Amino acid sequence: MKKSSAVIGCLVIGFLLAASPFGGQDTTNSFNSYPNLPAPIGEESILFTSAGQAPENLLLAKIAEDLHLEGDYRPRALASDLYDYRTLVIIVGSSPYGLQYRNRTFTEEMDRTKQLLNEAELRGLPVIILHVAGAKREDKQTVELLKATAPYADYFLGLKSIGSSTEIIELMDAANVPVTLVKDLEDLHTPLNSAFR
Amino acid sequence: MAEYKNNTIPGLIGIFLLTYGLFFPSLSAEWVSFIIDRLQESMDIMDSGQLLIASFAYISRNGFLYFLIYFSTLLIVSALAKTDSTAFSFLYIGATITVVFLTNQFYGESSSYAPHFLSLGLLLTLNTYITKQRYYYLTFAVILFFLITAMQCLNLIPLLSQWSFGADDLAVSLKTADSFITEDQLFTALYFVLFAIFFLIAVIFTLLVHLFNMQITTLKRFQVQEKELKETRYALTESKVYEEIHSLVHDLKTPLVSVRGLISLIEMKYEKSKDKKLKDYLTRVDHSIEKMNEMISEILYENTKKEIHVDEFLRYVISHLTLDDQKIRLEMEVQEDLPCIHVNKIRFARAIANLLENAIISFEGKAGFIQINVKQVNDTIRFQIKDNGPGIKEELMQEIWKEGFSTKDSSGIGLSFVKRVVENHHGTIFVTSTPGSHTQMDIYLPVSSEQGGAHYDIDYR
Repeated sequence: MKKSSAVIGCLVIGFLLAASPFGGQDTTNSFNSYPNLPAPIGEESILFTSAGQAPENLLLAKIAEDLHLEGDYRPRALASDLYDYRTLVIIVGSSPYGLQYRNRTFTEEMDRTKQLLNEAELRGLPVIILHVAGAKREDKQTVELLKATAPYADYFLGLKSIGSSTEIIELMDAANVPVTLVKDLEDLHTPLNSAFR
Repeated sequence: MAEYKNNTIPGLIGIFLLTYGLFFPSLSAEWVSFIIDRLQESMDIMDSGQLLIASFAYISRNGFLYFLIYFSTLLIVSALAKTDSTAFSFLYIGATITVVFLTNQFYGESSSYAPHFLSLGLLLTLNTYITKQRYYYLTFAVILFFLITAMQCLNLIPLLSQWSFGADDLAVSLKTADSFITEDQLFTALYFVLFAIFFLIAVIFTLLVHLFNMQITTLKRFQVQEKELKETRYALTESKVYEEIHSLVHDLKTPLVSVRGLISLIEMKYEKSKDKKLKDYLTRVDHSIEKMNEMISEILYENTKKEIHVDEFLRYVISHLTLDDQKIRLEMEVQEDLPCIHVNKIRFARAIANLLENAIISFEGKAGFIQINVKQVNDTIRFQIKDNGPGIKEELMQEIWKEGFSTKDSSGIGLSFVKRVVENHHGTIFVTSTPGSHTQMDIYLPVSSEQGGAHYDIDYR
């Protein structure tokens, strides 16, 4: 066996693994994707919160600020905090380091999210779900959080890059949730605004 | 033993670094908090400067973590296999991927292995150019540093996300923040340039080290060739000198014959003289000339041999040694009533003197002893020369009989001459040596030198 065989083998495996995400790509985009909602579904004031504590979830607060939406970004909000709000917006993205940063476990985070959703249902509040990291964050824990939130959701906003993963879209389709997918994060402003105005 | 030590030390350092590497994600919690703080601040005030600080901190942290993993596995694997072997490449890939997998399982780091396989492939390609380096580990560490940094830059290029680069938690957050603040422009441009710079540095450094190594190798080869040429010239000169001496010794015979003839004439002329003293002088001169003639014959002709007592022979040998400035104790033990030996006195004495001189030189001025023991063993006379010098290294035992072999700056004909002389006397020579302890030479001469075949042997303990 030649000495270079290990190096060549290693490089080939590397290229194959790198190219593997393209293997199952569905280019037809057969799911429903609305540019905007036909009518607003939420009312101000809004509780913006994070499910999974991914650091990038903070961008939801920035978008809300840009849109002058009345509400608060409270990443660790509890079910009891909902009394003062008329819409719940959850940005989903689980991050092990984000959870560690907030000193909590994934189970605790999942329980908090479920309690929030139950409380929102009890109060009849509309629930909007956002997923802003696209295909970059489709790990097991994030998908679990999406599974937990999908049955309560009234609207789902995400990036088009998740098109390669039909699992999230199937979840939303199964829960009969309207889905809007945008190309860039900047494009989230329009559909989020249309959910309220 | 030295090789064992050489392999053990890098192996132990590797295990230590690996242990530290496995715990590093837990130990770097504050580092991670700093990255998250800067990241959130960058989004809060829409400041790409804070984002850059966070990304540099990410590259530093991950670079250090993977440097520890890649370098520690190298140290461990290099203790098990030679760094330029195929087994090393496979073991290194297997060990590194296993450790990366374990880290992913424990800490939920990146689950993408493509960048690691590509890094290892590139690293092993560069490694082929540096394996015979004197400072191998240091050179490898420098190349690894640049390559790991380059690969961490790739992790932050948003375009490569779909190629499984930067799938770990912090990289995703950083790339999403960059997408939000600069629409991917900052990271794409900056980290592509930084990747190119670090990768090129790694390649150029490897090539420079390789070229430098080649120059050193060529220089060493020239030095060896120069030394060999010098030795050949010396041997040639020495050979010519011996040839000249041989001719001169041969030329001595002519005047010697004339002197002997003239002495015979003087004897005849003074045959009837009553001067007894004169007659005695003439007889002694004649004997001396006869002796000189015999010596010349022995020098010139190998097969000119005569009977001689062992005691007389050894006295003749010892008289040629210079032991005045040495701290060496010469012990001699000769069995009584030994039969005479039938030898070419001049040549055989030179052979024994060569062995004794080698023993003396090996002490290099230090104190020691040389024992000469002569006794009858069955049908042979055994000349045993034993010294407590540094001994002969195992790898040199097969070389010592070769013409030209020498560990000193000499012609290297000493032991090959000894072997030839012993063979010419139908004898046998054995060498036993234990490095750091002793060397023993045993020469067996047949009592009747007309019998037996010549051979030699080596016994190494």
